[in-house]
Amino acid sequence: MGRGKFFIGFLLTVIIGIGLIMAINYIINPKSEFKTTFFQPLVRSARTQKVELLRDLNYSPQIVILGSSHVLNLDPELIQNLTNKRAFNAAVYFANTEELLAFVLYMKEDLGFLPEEIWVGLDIDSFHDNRKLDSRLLAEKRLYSKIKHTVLPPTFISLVSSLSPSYIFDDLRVVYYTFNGYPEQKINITKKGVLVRYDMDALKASGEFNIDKRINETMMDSFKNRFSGMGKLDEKRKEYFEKFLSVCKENDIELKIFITPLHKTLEEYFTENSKYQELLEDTRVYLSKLQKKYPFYWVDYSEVSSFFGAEDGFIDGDHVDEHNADLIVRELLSIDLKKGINLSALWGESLVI
Amino acid sequence: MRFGVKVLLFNSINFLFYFFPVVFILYWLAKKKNQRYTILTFASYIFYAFWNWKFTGLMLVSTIVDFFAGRYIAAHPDSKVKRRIGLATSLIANLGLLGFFKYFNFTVGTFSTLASLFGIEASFPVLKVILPVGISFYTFQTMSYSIDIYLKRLKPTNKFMEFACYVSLFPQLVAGPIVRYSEIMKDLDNVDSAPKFSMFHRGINRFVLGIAKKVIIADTIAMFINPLFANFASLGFITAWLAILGYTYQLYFDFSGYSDMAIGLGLLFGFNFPENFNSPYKAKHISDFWRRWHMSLSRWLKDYVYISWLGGNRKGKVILFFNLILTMFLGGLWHGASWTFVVWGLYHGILIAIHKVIAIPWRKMPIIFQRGITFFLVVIGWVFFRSESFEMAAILLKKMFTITATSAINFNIVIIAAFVFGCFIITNFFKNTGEMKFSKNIWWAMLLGGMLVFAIILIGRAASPFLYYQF
Repeated sequence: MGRGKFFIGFLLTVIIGIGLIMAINYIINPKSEFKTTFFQPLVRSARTQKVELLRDLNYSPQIVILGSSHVLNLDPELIQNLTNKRAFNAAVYFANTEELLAFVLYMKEDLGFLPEEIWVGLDIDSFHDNRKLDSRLLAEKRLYSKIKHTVLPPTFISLVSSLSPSYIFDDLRVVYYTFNGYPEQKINITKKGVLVRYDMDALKASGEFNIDKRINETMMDSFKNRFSGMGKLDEKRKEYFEKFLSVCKENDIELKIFITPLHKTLEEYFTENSKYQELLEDTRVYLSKLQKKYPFYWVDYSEVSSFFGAEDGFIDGDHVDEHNADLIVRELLSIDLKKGINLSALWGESLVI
Repeated sequence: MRFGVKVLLFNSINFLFYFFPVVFILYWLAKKKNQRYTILTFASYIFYAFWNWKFTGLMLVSTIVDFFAGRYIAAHPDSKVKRRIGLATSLIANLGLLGFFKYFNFTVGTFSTLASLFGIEASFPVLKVILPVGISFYTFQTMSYSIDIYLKRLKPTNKFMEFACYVSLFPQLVAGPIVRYSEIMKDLDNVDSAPKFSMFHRGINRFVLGIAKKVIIADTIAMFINPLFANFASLGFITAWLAILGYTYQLYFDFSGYSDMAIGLGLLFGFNFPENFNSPYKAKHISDFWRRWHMSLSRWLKDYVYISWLGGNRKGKVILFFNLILTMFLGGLWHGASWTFVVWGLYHGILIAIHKVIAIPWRKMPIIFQRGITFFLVVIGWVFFRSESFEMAAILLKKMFTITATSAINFNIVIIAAFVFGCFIITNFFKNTGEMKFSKNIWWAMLLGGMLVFAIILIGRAASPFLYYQF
C-alpha cells in the first residue's frame, strides 16, 4: 500500500464524512436555515417570521421596536392604545447591531416605508466581540443582503456552523417527531410581532413559578455564556450601529434607545464572572459620544429601578415579564419628543434615571 | 465568520477550513527559499494578529533585537566585553518584555500585600496590562539563540527572513514546543526542498491524534470536572479525588495533544520540531517526570538556567540543592504570575532535591511503587497548579485527605471515573505518540479521517483554548 493511497483514503474519508453530515443537515434543516422543506423544522426563524409579518402588514407602522428577545414582549397594542400610533415589534432572538441595520434597510429598500420612530432595546452583548454572525441572519437573505458581512456564500457558512453535536441531535429530533408527531408549540409570535409564551403562562397559572428558583436552578447554565469571551465593544459591530444611526438620521426617524435590564441575581453573577460592569460603562460612554453626531435619546434601564419596574418582574434572569415590559413602554412614551425642548440638554447622563 | 476572534486555535473551524489549507497550498506552490520564508512568516504574523494585531510589534522587536545581537556577538569572538554587551542587550530586551507584560502587576501586587502586612499604606500603580499570547515561548526561543551564539555553540544566520520565520513559526508560536535555532537550522536551510511524503504521512498522523487527544478526551473531561472545581468547597472525598485526577489527565491530553498538533503541523511544512512529551505519567521519580513533561521547557531551564547560569552541580551539594530549587522556582514563575505557580515550582524543586538525597534507596523499591509514588506526588502538585488561590488549594487538599461519606453517585461522577480509568490505561500501557510507527494501511487512513471528522463535529461544542495558551 503506497503513501499516495493513504493520503487519498484519508482525504476522501474527511471530505465524504464532512460532506455527508452537511448534506443531512441541509436536507433535514431542523432550524429552517436552508431552503429545503422536506421536513418540518423544530423552530421557525423569528427573523423570517418578522420579515414576512412586516411585508404582510396592511398598514405602515409609525413606531417599530427593534432589538433582541429581551424586548420581544413589548406590546404594540399598548403603544397604539396610549398614543394612537400604529406599532410593530420587529425584535428577534440574539439580535446584534447588524440586525438593527438590516431591518431598517429592509423596511426602506424592500418595503418602501420607514416608521416615524424606532425604539431600540440595546443589549450590551449586541456589540459582542467574540460571537459569530447569527446563522439565522445568514439564512434570511432579505436581511443578510443588507449587510453582506462575509466574502464566503452564507449557505456555506451556515453549513460549516451546522457541524456540531447539537445540530446532529436536532436532526434526530426532527426525524423522531416526523414519525411520532411534533410536540405542541410552547411559543408563538402574534401578527404584531409580540412573543407569547404559553409555557410561562401555564407555569404562572399553576402557581409554581418562582423567579429565584428559575434563575438559579434552571436557567443559569444557558445565561452564563452571554458575556463569556467578550472583552470589548466590537469595532465592526460599532460600525453597523453607526450606519444604523446614520440611516435613521438621514430619514428623520426619531430614535429612542434603552439598555435592556437584568435581574439582580444575574447582574451579580455577570459582575463577578465577566466584564459586565466595564462593558456597561463603555456602552454608556459610547452612546453619549455618539449623540454629538446623531440625534437620539438613550436611557439606561439596566436596573429595573430606572424605569420603576418590579425587582422580580422577570420570567428568567434577563427577560422582563409583561408588567415590566408595559412599564418600559410607558416610560419611553413619557419622553416627549415633540415639545421642541433643547434635546442636547437632555442627552447623556441627565437622562439616566 | 467571528468578530474579534481571541486566538486562532488549531482546533477551530477557522484554522482547519480556511487558514491552514490556504497557507499549506501557498507554501508548497512557492519554490524559492525566500518565498517560503516570507509566506510562513507572513502567515505566522496573521495567525498572531487574530489574537491582537497590536502585539505583533513585540514579536518583531524581539526578532530584530536578537538577530542583530547574535550577529554582534559573533562579530567579536575575542572581546568578552562586546560579547557580553550583545548578550545583555538580548536578555534585557526579552526579559524586559516578559517582565513588564507578565510580571509587572504581580510584582506591584506582591509589594502592596507586603506593605499592608507591615501596616504601611502604600498605593502602587496598577497598569491595565494585557499578557501577550505566547510571549513566554518566543522570548525563550530568541534568548536561546543569542545565548547559544555567546557560548559559541551556534553561528548566527545572516538571513533576516530566515530568522524571522524561525521566531514566528505559527505551528509552535503560542504554546511551544520551545524550539532552539540549532534544532531546526537544517530544516530552515533546506526550506526549499521538495515535499517529503514520509513527513506528510507522519505529520497527518501526529496532527489528527493530537486533535483527538485535545477535543475528544481533554475537552470532554473538562466539561465534567469544571463544574466540580466551580463548587470545590462542596466536594467530598471521592469527588475531590476524581476532580483532581480528571484534571491530571485533562492537562496531559490537552498539552500533549497540542504538542502533537504542533509537531504534526511542523512536519507538514517540512520541519522536525523536538518532542515535548514522553509518557510523563510513567516516570519513576520526579526528575524523570521532568525529563518527560514539557521537555522543551525542562531542557531550556536545565541548559540555560541550572547549568549555564547557576553552575549546576559543580559548586557542592548545598549549592546544588539551592540551584535545583531556584531553577524550579523560576520554572513555576514562568507558568504564570501567581504565587500558586511559584509554590508549585518550589514543591517540585524540593521533591527533586529530596530525590537526589534518596536516589539510591529509591532505586531499590519495586518499579510499581516508584511510579505510583511519583504519580501521587505529581497529582498533589497539580492541586496548586489548578487552584486560583491558596485558599482553594488548601480546601481541595483537605477534601482529598478527609474521608467523608460518599454522596449519591450520579451520571457525571461515573463518566469522570470512566475517563480517569481509560486515561490511566492509555498513559500507562500505550506508547507515546512520538514513539508510534504509523501504518500506511487504507483502513488506518480511513480511521484517521473518521477521527478527524468526529473531532471537527465536537469542535462545534465551542472550541476551547489550550490550557498552555495562558502561559
